[in-house]
Amino acid sequence: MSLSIASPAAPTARQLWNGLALLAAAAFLWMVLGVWPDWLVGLLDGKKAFVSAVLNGVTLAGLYFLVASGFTLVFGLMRNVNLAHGSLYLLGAYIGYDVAAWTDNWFLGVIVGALTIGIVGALLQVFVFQRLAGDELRQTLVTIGISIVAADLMLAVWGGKTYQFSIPPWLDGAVATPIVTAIKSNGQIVTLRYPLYRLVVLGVSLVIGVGLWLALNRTKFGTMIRAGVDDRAMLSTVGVNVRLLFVGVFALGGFLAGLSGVIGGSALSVAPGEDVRYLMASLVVVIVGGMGSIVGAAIGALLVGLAEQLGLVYLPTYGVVLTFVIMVVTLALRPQGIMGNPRLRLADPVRPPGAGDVVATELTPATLALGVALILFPLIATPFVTFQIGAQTLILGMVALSLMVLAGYGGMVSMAQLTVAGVAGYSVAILGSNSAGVLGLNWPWWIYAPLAILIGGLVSALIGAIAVRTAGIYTIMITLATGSAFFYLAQQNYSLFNGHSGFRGVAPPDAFGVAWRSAVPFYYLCLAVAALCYCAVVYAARSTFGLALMASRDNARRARAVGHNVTALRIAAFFLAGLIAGVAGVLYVWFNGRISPGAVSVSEAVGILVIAVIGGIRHPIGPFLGAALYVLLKTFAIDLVGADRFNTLIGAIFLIIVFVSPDGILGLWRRVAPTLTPRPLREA
Amino acid sequence: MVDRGVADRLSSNSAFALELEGVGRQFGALVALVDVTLRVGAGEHRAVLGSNGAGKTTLFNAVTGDFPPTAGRIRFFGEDVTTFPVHERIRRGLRRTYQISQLFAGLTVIDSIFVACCGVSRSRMSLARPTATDATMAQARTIAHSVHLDDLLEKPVSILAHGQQRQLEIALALTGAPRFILLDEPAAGLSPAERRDLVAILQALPAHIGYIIIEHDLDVALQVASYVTIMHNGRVFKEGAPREIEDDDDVQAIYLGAAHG
Repeated sequence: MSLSIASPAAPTARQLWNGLALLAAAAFLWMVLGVWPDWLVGLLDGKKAFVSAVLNGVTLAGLYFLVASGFTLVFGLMRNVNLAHGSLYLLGAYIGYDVAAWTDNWFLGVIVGALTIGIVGALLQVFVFQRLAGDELRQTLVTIGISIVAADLMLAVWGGKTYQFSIPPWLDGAVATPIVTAIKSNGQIVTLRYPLYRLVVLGVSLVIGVGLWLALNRTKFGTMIRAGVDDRAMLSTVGVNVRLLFVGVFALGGFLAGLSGVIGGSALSVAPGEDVRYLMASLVVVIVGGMGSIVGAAIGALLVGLAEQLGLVYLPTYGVVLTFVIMVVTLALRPQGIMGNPRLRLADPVRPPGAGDVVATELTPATLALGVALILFPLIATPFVTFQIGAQTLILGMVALSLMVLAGYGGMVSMAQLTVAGVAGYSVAILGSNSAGVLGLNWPWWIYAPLAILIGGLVSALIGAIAVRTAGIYTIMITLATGSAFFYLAQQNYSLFNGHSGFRGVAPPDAFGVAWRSAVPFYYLCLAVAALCYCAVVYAARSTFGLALMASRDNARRARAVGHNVTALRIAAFFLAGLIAGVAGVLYVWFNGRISPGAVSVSEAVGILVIAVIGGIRHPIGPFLGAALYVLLKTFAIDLVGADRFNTLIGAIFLIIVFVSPDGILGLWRRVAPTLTPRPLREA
Repeated sequence: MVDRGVADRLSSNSAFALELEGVGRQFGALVALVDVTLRVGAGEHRAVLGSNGAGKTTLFNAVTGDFPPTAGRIRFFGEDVTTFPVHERIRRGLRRTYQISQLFAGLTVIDSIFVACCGVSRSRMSLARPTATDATMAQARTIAHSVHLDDLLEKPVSILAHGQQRQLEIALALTGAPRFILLDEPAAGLSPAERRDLVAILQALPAHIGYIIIEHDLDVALQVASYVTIMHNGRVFKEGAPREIEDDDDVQAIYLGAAHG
């Protein structure tokens, strides 16, 4: 029925692309197999460096593909972004290691690790996700909660040390490859030697990839999954047991995560933090390749793996940016990913928990009373409490407020608002003064502070411009990937960010004759700024812009059809939210006296989401309530659960809130409050 | 009355509100719209009829840009808007209603209409709250009054009854200064009394505002339209005055399901 009208003379765009791809492949093949001329050796530091980087990239891609394939399958079918996927990877690696060490049989470790995680995946689906069926955002939040608790418990069981698998000797060592790296002056040919095990990883991922493709395209199970990806509702009406299918897919996704955990852990190592690393890799691979597509995951993994390894060799301190650029370019050209289904992007808009009702937008007597209490707070509290608990709560509350503005009013759950605060904090350290001996332009505070806030707004707008190419759950993934890209950049780069040690000795100025660095003045500074941000948000929510933003949250299509430029509204919202995060970032670097990549790590960014969700994402006071609870627990967790188990505690509270009260403490209070007030005696 | 409309249309030298030339739309392999050429005068009232899947709503989506055409050109008051984003077309005076109400579930009735009014005003990104004497807010109240929603101004949209939602849907299309409105089955699901209301609202529109109405209820369609376009299988099948269309054998055949193209 479709009409294809192709003129025979001019090649179509597709033919042109195919031709270009063929040329590129030929050039690449020659670069790997051929003998290089001198100019190329000069350009790329010799053939050995290049070919090794390519091989490393391809084998890493194999590993990334293994991890990401399970992730993309689960998303494709269930629209469930399993942000605990990295935890499954790491748990598989640990279990595999223990079994392999205990039985002295590596293969048993592989099998038990993969199978156990397959079962864990199935259990998660049965006992957690099925209870939240149809609510993709809450499912995603739950996976975040699980990953927090899981990371902490794994730390408790396996400790912080790095484990190294001992793989069977016949898989170990290096082998000769037919790749010529150089010809010596005496005519002897030098070939490249390469670790055998890495080639095995590549082989395994190829076999699994082909197997998955065949299973999806040639079996009944695969047909059902593909049908489910296209139209879930239809699948159940034709008699497929969707529930069982979902369990099966989750088990398969878990199996793949566990398998790659053991195999990847054997190639590199097993240590805390690997969960986040592979989750982030999976996110980028799947964003680039396209959700739900196995072929897409393979392409995405290849691009990311090569970018990472070539970047490591040729752009040592900006390598991570290369991966990020690939993601941004993909989103700009094909928001649904290279092999993604364009309809997936538009389908299933999500709403933050509790959003969708009119968000309260007036100053109530309760908030005014709270304001008075906060003004009097330093009179009764010790300077330590005033500073450590009071000021920190207000600062973290502002970062979470920035997220609340985007999520509550705009329907965009941005995980990058802490990154924005971090950028502002770094700006203060770089433009102002620090004691790290790197940079520190010593500009006066009345220049660097406003500038840092403005930079925060602009960076936020930039992140927004990338994120608004898509909607819903995608926003979480893209902002999370963006945040982690900044973290790795700050960690790798010494010329601007001073690497992993960051900047020390950053202090607030003694402006207007006040020593702002002492506890009480700093507390009042934070309180004044927080109150200003809060009132501005409350006021602006009922402004023309605020109403239009809420309208585009509720129904973007209708907002366009009455003349609103939804993209512009959303980017502007990111800018304004970025100003709030920027203010908080300036205060935060003053509060800590230092800033390092650790302050903007993925787990810290997740902490901001936890604060906003626990407090309540429906009203601007929620983030401050959440921050108060968070800071109190963090300070006193040592007495409750021991110093090291804070994350388990906060993760558990987060999970309970997501399950019980989607509007956070605030919603809990609203539900409980009416039952506390005396009722009239005779009630119908 | 009907005949006068046709005469107006034929004698009018004013620019066409809407000109479509060879417009087509494909969704993957599915061809939803083929080579549609259509001209509607400014101030003209046109009905588009056709069975389910004839391409009527796809035609609207192509004109507003919700799903832009994959072939052909669209001109709005002489300006080529084929590649314009939705909001740019709206800002030039185009409006629409949806077959399934597309409303702002989290806002109140008055805020919804106000937001819609702001979409085409310069202050749409203003961070100031509307004042008590705000002209746009006053316009929103007037529009709410014209669709009989005065008593529900502060009520959340999510609690409105179906008929009230359809009225709000119309209200959203009347905001700003519309020059031409696309009405996609505005009477769907309405009671007979509500239909009479709808007809009255449409008949009370200023003369310079033209519209196209998709309507299955011929009674409603022929009361408010002076010219009819029949669509079938994604193409324009026939055009004419209501009486000609009613008597046409081919049209009868389509409606009775006897013929295919």
